[in-house]
Amino acid sequence: MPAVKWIGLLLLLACGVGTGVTLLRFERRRYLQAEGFLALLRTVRLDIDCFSMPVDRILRQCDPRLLVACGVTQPAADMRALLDRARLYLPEEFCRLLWDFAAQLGTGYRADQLRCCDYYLARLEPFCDQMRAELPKREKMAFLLPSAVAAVLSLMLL
Amino acid sequence: MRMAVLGGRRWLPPALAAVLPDAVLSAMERALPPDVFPEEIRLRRDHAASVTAEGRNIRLDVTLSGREMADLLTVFCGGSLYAHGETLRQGYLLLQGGVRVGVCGHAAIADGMMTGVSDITAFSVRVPRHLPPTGGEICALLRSFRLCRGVLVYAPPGVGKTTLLRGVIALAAGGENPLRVAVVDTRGELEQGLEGPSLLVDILSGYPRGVGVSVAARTLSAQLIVCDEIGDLAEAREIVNAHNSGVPLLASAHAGSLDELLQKPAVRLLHRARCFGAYVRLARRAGFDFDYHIDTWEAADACC
Repeated sequence: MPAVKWIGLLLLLACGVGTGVTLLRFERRRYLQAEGFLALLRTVRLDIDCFSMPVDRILRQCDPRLLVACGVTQPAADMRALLDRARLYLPEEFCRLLWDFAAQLGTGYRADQLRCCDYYLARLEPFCDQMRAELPKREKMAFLLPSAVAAVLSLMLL
Repeated sequence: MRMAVLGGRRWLPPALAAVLPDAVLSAMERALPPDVFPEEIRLRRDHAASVTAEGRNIRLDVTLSGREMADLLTVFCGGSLYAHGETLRQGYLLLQGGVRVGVCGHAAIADGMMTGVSDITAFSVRVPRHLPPTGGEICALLRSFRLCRGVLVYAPPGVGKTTLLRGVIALAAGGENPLRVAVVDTRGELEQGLEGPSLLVDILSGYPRGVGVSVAARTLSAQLIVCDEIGDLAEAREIVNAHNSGVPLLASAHAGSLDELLQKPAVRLLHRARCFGAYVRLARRAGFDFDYHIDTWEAADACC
């Protein structure tokens, strides 16, 4: 039976590493999504400021890579529909702010909307800064923790 | 222009049918006789809505609440109120398909300037008409001036000036001997129905009239410039400057008579600058069959 035992141990190790890689990717995706939404907000602000462009046209004309970074593959008619379609990996508070922004977008005149964009950008930027600063540590943790647990379990079962 | 069938007999542009509340559409179905097309739909807060058809105002058995009016404003704006801020300050919204919606409410004023409208009390939805084959007489008049002088069409509101202008644009920019027509479409109403690929038409959409006429004359080398509803003196000054380039202008203005027309400062300025070779009073007989009363510049000048 030693061969089966070794195979089991290797599978356990592979699961640990696999989980680590998945979590690492999740952490990176989470950060990139936050950056994506921040970039989208900046685009929205710019298009409102320079062209008073309606929301649906902004979302239709913006860089598709930006939408992909936000977790959306198809453009949406408004920000709420976009958030509905997006698969969000973001912290709860970040999501709440995005939904609040979506609810306010388009309901006021240009100056109000610019202030609204500025407010939510100022609220969301610290989240992104924090996520950027913590990303290396979180990535390391996300990868090492399940891998280490798998390794310890393998040693115990040896 | 594509229209949507409602209830099998009434027609509205799809963009309008999509945004009007079902209660209003149903009430219109009930109130309007068959084969009568709505010209204007008026929605009022806490008062009966009405529809104007064939010059008659017909009361609808529907009233909208303040909340519904606010929601309707958001729908009309496509969820982007700020994108319509400038036109809202001028009292109207422009929907897709050339539908103009007059907006009435509480004006927000800051430093003596109107900054917005709140507490909407009424919407006046003007339903655009089909592009009819009309305006041959105006085209002939313009060509009789050898495209050196323009024509001003005038009539009271609702007679069909904009519809006539659209017909003239289609005739002038199409056919066997087309002209390069530049359309200064400040309110987005003229370009509807001008999608034909064979038309030699350049559309300056959303341009202020003065700027648009100037651009059309100086950079587009148009043979005919068309704009709607001249009224503002500052615009008229810019038009006069642009007119020095010699491109004829076809325009419209609100007035019931020649006297009334020439009493408008903007039109008087254009008249003195000899922008127009003729003034055409429009009256509608039936459908898009118009009566034209033409006064030459000289005849009009004698009346001044």
